[in-house]
Amino acid sequence: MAYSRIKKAARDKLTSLEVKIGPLRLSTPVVMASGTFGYGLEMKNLINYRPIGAIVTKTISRYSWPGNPQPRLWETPSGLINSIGLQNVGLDVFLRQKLPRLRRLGPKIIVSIAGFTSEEVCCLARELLAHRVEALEMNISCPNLKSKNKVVATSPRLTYNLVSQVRKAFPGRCLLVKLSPNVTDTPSVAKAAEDAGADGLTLINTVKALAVDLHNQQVISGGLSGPAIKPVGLRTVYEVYRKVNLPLIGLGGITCGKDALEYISVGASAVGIGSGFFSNPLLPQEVVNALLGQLKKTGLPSITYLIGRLNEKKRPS
Amino acid sequence: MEILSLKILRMQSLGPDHYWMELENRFKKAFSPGQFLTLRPSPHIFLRRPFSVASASKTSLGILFRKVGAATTILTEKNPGQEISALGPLGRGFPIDPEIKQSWLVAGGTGVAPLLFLLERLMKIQKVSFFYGAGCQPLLFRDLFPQGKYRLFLATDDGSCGIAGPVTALVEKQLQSGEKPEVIYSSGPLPMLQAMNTLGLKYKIPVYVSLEIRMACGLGLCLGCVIPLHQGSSIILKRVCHDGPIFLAREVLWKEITTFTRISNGL
Ligand SMILES: Cc1cc2nc3c(=O)[nH]c(=O)nc-3n(C[C@H](O)[C@H](O)[C@H](O)COP(=O)(O)OP(=O)(O)OC[C@H]3O[C@@H](n4cnc5c(N)ncnc54)[C@H](O)[C@@H]3O)c2cc1C
Ligand SMILES: Cc1cc2nc3c(=O)[nH]c(=O)nc-3n(C[C@H](O)[C@H](O)[C@H](O)COP(=O)(O)O)c2cc1C
Ligand code: FES
Repeated sequence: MAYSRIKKAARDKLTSLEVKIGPLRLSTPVVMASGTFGYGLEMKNLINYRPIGAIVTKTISRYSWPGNPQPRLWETPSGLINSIGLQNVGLDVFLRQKLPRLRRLGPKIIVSIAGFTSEEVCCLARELLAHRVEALEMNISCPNLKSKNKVVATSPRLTYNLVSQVRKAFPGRCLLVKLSPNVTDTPSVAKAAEDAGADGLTLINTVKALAVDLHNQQVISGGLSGPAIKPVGLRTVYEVYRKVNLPLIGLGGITCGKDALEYISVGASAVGIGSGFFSNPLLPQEVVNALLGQLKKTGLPSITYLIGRLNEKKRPS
Repeated sequence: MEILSLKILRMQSLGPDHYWMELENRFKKAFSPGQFLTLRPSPHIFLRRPFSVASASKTSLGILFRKVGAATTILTEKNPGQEISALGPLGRGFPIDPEIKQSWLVAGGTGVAPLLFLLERLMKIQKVSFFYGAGCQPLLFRDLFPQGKYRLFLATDDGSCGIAGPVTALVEKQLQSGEKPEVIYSSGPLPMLQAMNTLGLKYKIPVYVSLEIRMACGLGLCLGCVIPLHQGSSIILKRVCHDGPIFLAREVLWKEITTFTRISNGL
């Protein structure tokens, strides 16, 4: 297993921190997660973008969405509950105002998309293909209007249907599917996405959670992120890696280089930085430093050698 | 915008649960009054915390804070010489129109912080009146006020200093006497800011308010601090951290943000 991966890294001529997610080649395995890095442009004056391999944009929809009313945030021990409600500028503004500037930043751009119907998602994919976008990430943690509002990510069948339609609308380029942990059996959804033609999987999205504010007599219902969900993310990556053959972008609670190495060791080819960036904007650089340090320590020529090292059970071919 | 590890120069208890902290100022960009920074008091607390800058010189930054929860409690335990991670300058400060000759500053409680910094600026170029209200005399931090030419009006809820009652009543009394500033700047608890908005509408004076809301990033990335605003006939969404925290009071949809009214009342 390890040997075949070494051969693959040699074949792809990947050096040092380079990784491949389907057809997408990243200069480092550090991916800025959707919704926690704005549209990717906002941090130009604060940080160096060089350690970043790819930026996933805030999820965009065909038309702009206003999102949820306040309160949208609640801090928990080691985590954060958010209910932003996918507020976004919509496709047209994104194409006109954000995309041209995003492309000049350096990192690869992955556009996160969502919609309430498959037509809407396919329309987004076609438009983005027409604008020569290299990679899409399907946020399928969204209810589907035609399937009794069932969240696509909770059903292998709905996932298969949606991903195969979007695959047709976005041929030849990198198509990622973002998985939700709010499912009994995430690997079966992962398998459905693989069978439908996805090039890679991003996991995990936030974990369903609730906070109770007794003082103000209200509840805050949303998605939990941050260090509290790291064990959930690791377990999901570990299981999905065994079930599918796709490259994985692992995320959930990464706040230091060690966390990133843990995700890689159980099967992630790249790692996502989400809410950890809020407390430490220097995190992308710190993760890159830690990965380089690990290569130096082990004497390995490429980070790809570390992928899945602690999860070596034979994968199905 | 920069992220730096800054040395704490001074830490002083001001009164019940209130502290003054001075940090070395190594930020390349100068802060303007109304802007804020975020601090990370401990790696064990996940999110950074926003604080207004209450004074700024080339070498130091002053912060006035109130102990309300875990992060601010850890801040109180810091000592001079220790370092703390600071990120700023964030947000947009109070707009200052060079044409304006007379302004009023209206502060309630800990909300005095950004207005102390504004006072420092304005008293040199305008006729300034400062209205300051707090619960009781030990919570009126008069020592923090700069020397200079301005009028200071005080109010306490219990009447232990200045007039008894809310600071907004003091402002209204002055307005009724026929005096009228060209602009009002206000910072404090939400009900007070709402009352200032009502006064501004009644007396046709623009009121700028500094809003506090829960933030996750403070950088304009997460959309957690978004509030709706009136703009012309439409309603637009703005990020308090990036487009604020200073807003024109009459543009704020006060009813829509009542959920965070309750949050602030909880302080
Ligand atoms: C732009 C801005 C400027 C601020 N300036 C100052 C300042 O100069 N001095 C000062 O003492 N405080 C200021 N605050 C509030 C300060 O950020 C909070 O008091 C602090 O984050 C509380 O952290 P904690 O862990 O101690 O309390 P927590 O345990 O997080 O919360 C304790 C209480 O504080 C409330 N709270 C938490 N975060 C906020 C927030 N961001 N805004 C309003 N209420 C909050 C909670 O609802 C709760 O009732 C400012 C907030 C903002 C958004
Ligand atoms: C404020 C906030 C907004 C988010 N918005 C999106 C989004 O628009 N689309 C999406 O696919 N994931 C979104 N996420 C989920 C993150 O991309 C990520 O999957 C999750 O936060 C777990 O990673 P973390 O623990 O490192 O934050 C959001 C997360 C947060 C905290
Ligand atoms: S706190 Fe994140 S956008 Fe304002």
